[in-house]
Amino acid sequence: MRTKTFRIGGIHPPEHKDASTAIEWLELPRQVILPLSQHIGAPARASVEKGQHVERLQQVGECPSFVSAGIHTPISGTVKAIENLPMAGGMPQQCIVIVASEEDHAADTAAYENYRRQLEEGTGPDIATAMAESAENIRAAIRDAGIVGLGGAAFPSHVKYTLKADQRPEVLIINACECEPYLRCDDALMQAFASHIIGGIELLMKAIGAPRAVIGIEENKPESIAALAARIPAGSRIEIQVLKTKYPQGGEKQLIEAITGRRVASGALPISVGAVVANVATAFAVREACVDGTPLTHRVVSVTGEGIPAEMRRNYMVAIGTPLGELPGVPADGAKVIVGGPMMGRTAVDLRGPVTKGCSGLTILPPQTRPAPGPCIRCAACVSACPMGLEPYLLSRYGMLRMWDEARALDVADCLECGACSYSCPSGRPLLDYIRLAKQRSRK
Amino acid sequence: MTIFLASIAILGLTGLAGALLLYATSKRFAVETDPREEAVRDALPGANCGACGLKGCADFARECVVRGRLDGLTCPGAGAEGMARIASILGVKAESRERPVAVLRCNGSCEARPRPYAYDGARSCSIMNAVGVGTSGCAFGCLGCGDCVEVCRFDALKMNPETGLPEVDETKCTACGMCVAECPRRLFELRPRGRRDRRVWVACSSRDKGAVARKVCAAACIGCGKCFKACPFEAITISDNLAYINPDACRACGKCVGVCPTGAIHATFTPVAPKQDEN
Repeated sequence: MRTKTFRIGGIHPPEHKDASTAIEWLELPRQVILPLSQHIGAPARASVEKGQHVERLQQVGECPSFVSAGIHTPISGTVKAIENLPMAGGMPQQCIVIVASEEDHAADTAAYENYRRQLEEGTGPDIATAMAESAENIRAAIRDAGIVGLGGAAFPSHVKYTLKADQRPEVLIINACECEPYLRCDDALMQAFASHIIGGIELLMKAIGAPRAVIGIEENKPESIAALAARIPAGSRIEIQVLKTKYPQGGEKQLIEAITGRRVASGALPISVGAVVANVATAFAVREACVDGTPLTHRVVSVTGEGIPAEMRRNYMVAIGTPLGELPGVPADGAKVIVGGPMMGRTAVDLRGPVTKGCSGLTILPPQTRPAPGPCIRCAACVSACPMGLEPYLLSRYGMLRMWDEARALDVADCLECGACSYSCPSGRPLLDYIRLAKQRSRK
Repeated sequence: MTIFLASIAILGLTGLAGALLLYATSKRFAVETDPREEAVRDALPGANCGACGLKGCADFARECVVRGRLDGLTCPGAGAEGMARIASILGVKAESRERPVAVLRCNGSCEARPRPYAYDGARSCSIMNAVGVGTSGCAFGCLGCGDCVEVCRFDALKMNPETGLPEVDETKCTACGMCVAECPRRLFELRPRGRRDRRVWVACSSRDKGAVARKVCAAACIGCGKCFKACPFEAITISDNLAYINPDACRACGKCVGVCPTGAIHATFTPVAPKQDEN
């Protein structure tokens, strides 16, 4: 099959996808820290009180408004505190802390072990019952499970899949690109649970009323492509489109362009060209929520990078709320730990911060600091790299000079913050930092 | 010889014709300007800071002349002296108005508030704040990159490398409010200078609970309420674990400064109290 890609810009950073693709299930933690705002939109409101006993998978944070997502606990235990605790980035945030007693832990471990066996052996409840539900019920199940986009942006899924009456989706695009270097969590998930992902895609197609689905996947994941292809039933409306390995292939607008050949206009949503995009891990979570009734309390997290030995670069099934420092192989200090990939991730300064819904991995690099930036030499490498066709050198300059109106006039709002400009800059200028500032300040 | 004379004559005549044309057009299309407008503009500091609420100094000058009086129009940069000059240009009576001064509502020096987190991104408070990174654990305190210093047009702010906090030079501060608007954590407040420059304010913005605030910063306001009880003028209110001194009610007696257990209340004078402010 011919591989497709987007037309403008893009870069080819070294892939470093050398982590093993097996998923290792970590033991449930004794204590979880659940931030109330792990998503875009209004923070959840705590629906439990200090001292209260909660059951595993119980909802502990509820949506105060439509654009929000509920929070569920991966362990049973007692609510120890509801207070401000530091996140990985250093900023404190309102969190629910739950501590398990010995009995809680033993009971949870047994239930969790059972769930794992069902998943791995494929002996869980059948998808037919869930497929028989109406689209509204599927969306309600997605909302009640607190599912957000697991690609990193963490936008509440039920909001994204609630379309207006006049919006007709033509295609559901499943984002399986995982174009960030280092990370392999989606790759691992596809190899382990391909049939579950296909089930999730079918449920999503029903929820939004899409007549067909296309899985967009980069060509550097042949095992995943084979695993998915083997699980797609004959006569299915799901197809696989292999894409070129190029960053940011997984950007929403880039992916839509690569697959449908249509460009989403500035400021418009994908539905304007008849597309709806979902991450592959989101599809998996949707299946678990609708079929099994398991809310989003676990996710696959890659722990990888040159900062740790090769045999420690692995993928783990982790309870959301586990402190980052408790993941195997994460060094306490003497390394640069990035939450997410090296391109769009953010440096973790406090490893007491928990794994959140949007945390796809930890990239651990040898200690390093950014070199002092040199002057802009107007080489326009950033312009060639920008996948949105913007002029990053100019936008970042406007950001530095606080010229928000000028930045707005040059469509700074289109920036997807992929970091291709900063990556390609030979002077090592922090272009994206200032562009992001201009993007925020120029918003009206 | 004739060729020289001819060229000079042609050039001279063309020049003269041009000059006449220019003179005629400038007379015909002259824009009427009030000489007062230029005079007012000269009396302004020319920083175009926008503190008057207009687009810049030229706008301010035009507005003054168009209105013909000053009611409500003030240039904080020009100060009382400058405003008096402008009033005399306009031929009106100068309004006397006290000029406030910017104060920093953060006390988290490097000593009181350790900075355990490294940050090597772009040096800008706004960027730091936007990516959710703070170098200290305090979600409310000064980020220390000096965005305020950068925007101050009057050279009234300086970073103190020892404390890691900006310092206000009150002789230069014109209360234009640029720093107030720029600080992503809203740490600056314009407060009245007070009688004989005596003023008291809470140098902390942390709304965290006492124990949490104290954990990250030894000089944080913990909302204990001691100042509230000590104040004889009911000038202090406490909300969200943070004390606030109402400048209109405060008589700058300094009692609160002495009772504050963390030294979060600052005064510009040495209060008569057993425990003194560090500065």
